[in-house]
Amino acid sequence: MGVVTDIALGILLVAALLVVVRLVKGPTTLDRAAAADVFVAILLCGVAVLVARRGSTVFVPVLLALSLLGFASSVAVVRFVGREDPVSEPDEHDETDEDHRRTTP
Amino acid sequence: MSPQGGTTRPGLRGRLPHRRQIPIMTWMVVFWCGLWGSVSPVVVVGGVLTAFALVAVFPMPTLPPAPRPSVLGAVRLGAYVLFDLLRSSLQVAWFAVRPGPVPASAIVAAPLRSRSDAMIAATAEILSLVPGTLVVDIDVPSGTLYLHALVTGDPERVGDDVRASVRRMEERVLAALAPGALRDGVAVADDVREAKR
Amino acid sequence: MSAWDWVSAVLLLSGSLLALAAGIGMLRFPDLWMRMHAGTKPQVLGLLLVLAGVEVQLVPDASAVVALLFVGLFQLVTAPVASHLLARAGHRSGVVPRDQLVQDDLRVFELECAAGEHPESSPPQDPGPRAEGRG
Repeated sequence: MGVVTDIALGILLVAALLVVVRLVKGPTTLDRAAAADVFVAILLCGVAVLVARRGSTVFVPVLLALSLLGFASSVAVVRFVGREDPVSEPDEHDETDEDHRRTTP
Repeated sequence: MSPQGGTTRPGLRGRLPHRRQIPIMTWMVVFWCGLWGSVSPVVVVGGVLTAFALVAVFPMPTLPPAPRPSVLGAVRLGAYVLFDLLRSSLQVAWFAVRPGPVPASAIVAAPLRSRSDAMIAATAEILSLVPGTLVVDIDVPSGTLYLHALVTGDPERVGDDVRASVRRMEERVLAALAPGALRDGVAVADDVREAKR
Repeated sequence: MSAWDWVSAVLLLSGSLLALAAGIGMLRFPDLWMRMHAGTKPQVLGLLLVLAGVEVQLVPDASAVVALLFVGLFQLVTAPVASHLLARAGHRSGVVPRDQLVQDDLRVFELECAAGEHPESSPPQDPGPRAEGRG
């Protein structure tokens, strides 16, 4: 069983590294928020595998707290972005459509 | 938030909670016992007190009286959701790992049959978990979901495919949560919204 | 290894592989919405499978099993909400490039709203112009 949990932890480590690459690359805040969300979920998987590996339940409250935290963090980011940062990548914005929308009430 | 927030009258605070809040308080107590991992009297009493405190301090918008959900429909809905979750997960995972270009995508407008906030919310929630779609925006007055979908087959037919699967899923949601609505048209589902006004 | 150990091993490994697929999708998919697909579905199922695999090992401990069930349930309920919030924020702040889409009904709807065809609907505008209008 130890081998299985080792392999699972290795796979999860690779997955987490991939997500961290996305977290660093961005390009926008929302991409990073999504990546952070997935990172927390992979962390949840990792802690759960650790629980199975050790056979002890001391980390179960950590799992509960993390699962609540991941949701709260993405909601917070979305609220923040919606208020503060309407366009973080202006070059990706479709200017002509913007103008069309603004001319009409 | 919703206009319902204003109807939780200040006079209710500090007194006994409204009858409609009993389900959510029961759920809080159950959750509390689960978190503590025991159902000893101390934990249950503590949970009840916490639930009272939460309802008094953070009054939730109470839901309108919903139609009685159907147990059989809910079980069937759960089975479909699990099956679809499995299918769409494997599909997206395959798109992620297969060599070659990533699939195209589209935003599709999918009209819903019911206008009830609760039904729209339930359908939207399940849809973004399930069949290869992601809810981008919702127009509540016209009951339209705007879904981002991966194009798996013919690009010309993606809109019809998505709309068909939305319709099927909504029928299952209605069958589970508002069994009368399917039989009598959408009247029951609309009543839920009317009752709020 | 007993039979239950094998079940648990299969669940743990398949869950981890789904999480890996989610990670690859996060890296490979070109825009926010497609990444949300990868980050929602395989991720949720992967976590559920891993949790199930752990549950199999912890079965005698009822409180831990219930706690893990809550973790799974909570993820199942919140993941779609979070992904919808992020997707909508991506749309309303206009950071997602849309020229690659095969079909874009939302743009049609926005143009119709701008033309005043849906007076009862609040058009899904960018927060920027709306904030200006209010201030």
